[in-house]
Amino acid sequence: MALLSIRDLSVTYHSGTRHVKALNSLNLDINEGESLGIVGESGSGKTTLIMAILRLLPKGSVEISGEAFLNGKELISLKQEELLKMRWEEMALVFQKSMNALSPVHKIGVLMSDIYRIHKPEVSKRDARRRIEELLELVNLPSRVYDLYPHELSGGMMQRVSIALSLMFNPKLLILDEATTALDVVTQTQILEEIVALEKKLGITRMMITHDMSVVASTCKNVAVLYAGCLLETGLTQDVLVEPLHPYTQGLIKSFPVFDNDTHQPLQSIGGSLPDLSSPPPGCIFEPRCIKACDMCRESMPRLKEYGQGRFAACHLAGGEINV
Amino acid sequence: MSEEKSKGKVPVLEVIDIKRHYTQRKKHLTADGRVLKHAKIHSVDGVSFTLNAGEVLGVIGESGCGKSTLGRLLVRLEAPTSGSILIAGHSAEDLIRKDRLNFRRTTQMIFQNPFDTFDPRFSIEKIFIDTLKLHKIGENNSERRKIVIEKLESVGLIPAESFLDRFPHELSGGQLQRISILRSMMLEPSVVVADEPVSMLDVSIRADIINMLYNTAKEHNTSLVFISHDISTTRYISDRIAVMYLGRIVEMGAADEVATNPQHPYTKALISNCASIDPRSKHNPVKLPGEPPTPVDMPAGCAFAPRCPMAAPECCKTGQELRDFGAGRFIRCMKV
Repeated sequence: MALLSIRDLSVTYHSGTRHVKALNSLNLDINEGESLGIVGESGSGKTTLIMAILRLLPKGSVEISGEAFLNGKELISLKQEELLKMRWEEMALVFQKSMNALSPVHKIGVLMSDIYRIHKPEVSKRDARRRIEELLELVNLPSRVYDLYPHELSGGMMQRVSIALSLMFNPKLLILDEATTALDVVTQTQILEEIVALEKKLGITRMMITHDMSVVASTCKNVAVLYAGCLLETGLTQDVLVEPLHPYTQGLIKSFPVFDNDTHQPLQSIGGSLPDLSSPPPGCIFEPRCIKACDMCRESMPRLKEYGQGRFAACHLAGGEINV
Repeated sequence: MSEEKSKGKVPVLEVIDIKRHYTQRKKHLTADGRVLKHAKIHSVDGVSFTLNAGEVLGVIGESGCGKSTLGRLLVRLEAPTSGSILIAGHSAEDLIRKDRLNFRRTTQMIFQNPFDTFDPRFSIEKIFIDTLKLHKIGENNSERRKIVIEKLESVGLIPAESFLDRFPHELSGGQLQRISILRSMMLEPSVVVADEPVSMLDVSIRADIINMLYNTAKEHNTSLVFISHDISTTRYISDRIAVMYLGRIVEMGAADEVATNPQHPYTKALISNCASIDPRSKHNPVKLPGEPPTPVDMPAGCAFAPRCPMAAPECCKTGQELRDFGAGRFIRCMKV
């Protein structure tokens, strides 16, 4: 059974007379113990997706519809008290910029034991400290970090603190929102390796948001390609990145500079830019930028169709044939 | 360097042992507990290279290695602590003292974030026309306007008239970065420094910007210094690559040579950590212990020795020279 299943999730931002459909009836499943990478350019709704399932979006101006089940519990309609319990304990999030996520006026130890003792008020300070030093060790940080302030740490160390925080209660679902983007390549590879090792050890399911496809290629089992709030393609990483079915995925791969090959293949961009989501095109959402678009694409949005085990793509022309 | 001089060809840009040190105002606490007063930060610590007309030099390295400071020194946004920069054989110091405007015409910079590059209250038309007016190009504004429209159309910003009245915030990052490149290239400078010009942009549009930058540079025979932390992109655009670590160049050579046959242990580690998008390809990243160090309390020997997998005791004692291995290849390591 899937650990997280998202059903028909839509998010609309209202501002004045504009209604921006940031997510358009998204369906997605993650099985227990697997890893899913979500790729797409900025503005494609990646962050909106996780903010919606974690219920971190502001009330009032945002309209959320649909369902998201984590371990059978529906998150979108969950009561606030139950939600607070679930955060950190069952699902945890690591943000892109830890320097902004950590309090600059508190020592790392104080910050971490605060969170620990809110969820487990019966634990003594000494036990909390022991547990936190254990966590720091888990992410390869010396225990002296407990008494340091965030500004005394390097970017990589702060990111490790954030990861240690998220692992505090062995959450079932770990969400990383561009967690390694701001880091140097050497540090990034090290931290990614550590995360992969930890999730095997602790049995964590990981959802990873990134725009760097090489990160997905090296660490995720499944990949989902998001564009303008729509899911365009999903499947095993080894299938999607090697033989992409959707023209958008193909374009993304062509625009990524390849290091390995010796021939200087010219890089190609995807022309145009994201459509205005307050007035999306009538047909396929990608049609205005698609080089393969035909008449049918201007008329109707293609539905996700299955191409083999767990492989879905939303394109009329996928697989070389015309699907209605 | 000497080879080129004997041919009678003067390089467009020659950098001789430039350094930029900053003095820290606060006390600095080193990792082993010593307190330093007025510590020196060796941001750029003895960099030398030459650049020929129309050549693209890529500069790569981790954050904090001094690559951006180097870029700012080259266009003279900052003065070096010591060392000299020669532009077509003339000292940049003298050039800027004699005629600042003319110096700015020969060296230009492209910044990372195009939204910070322009005054948000100026329309695109004003941004371009002011530059032309300042450098006394064109008789009157309608003539200048014609030049601008022609330039905009040449890089695919069509219809150009529709862009002229817009303000920077009304354009996408990719469009604005194109305008930034265009403005830098408009006066046909001989040296352009591009500091992470695409790292703010989406992957799907980066390629166009890179190609445009490359083509305009080749068209005007402009020398380009391309600063980036992205090794794949740098390799794609560069003729030569210089790898920086703690303010010094540790390896320099032809782009393909450095990428496929790295010699310095730091370059090897960097390149092995550069992941591919093909999930089938195996990669065995070289691990570097420790954190990237700060350029404050520089070690006596090789700066990379504390993290180097190949380090021998003698590496920590004596400093390394950038040695010439022929065919434009320079490596700063005694083990090679």
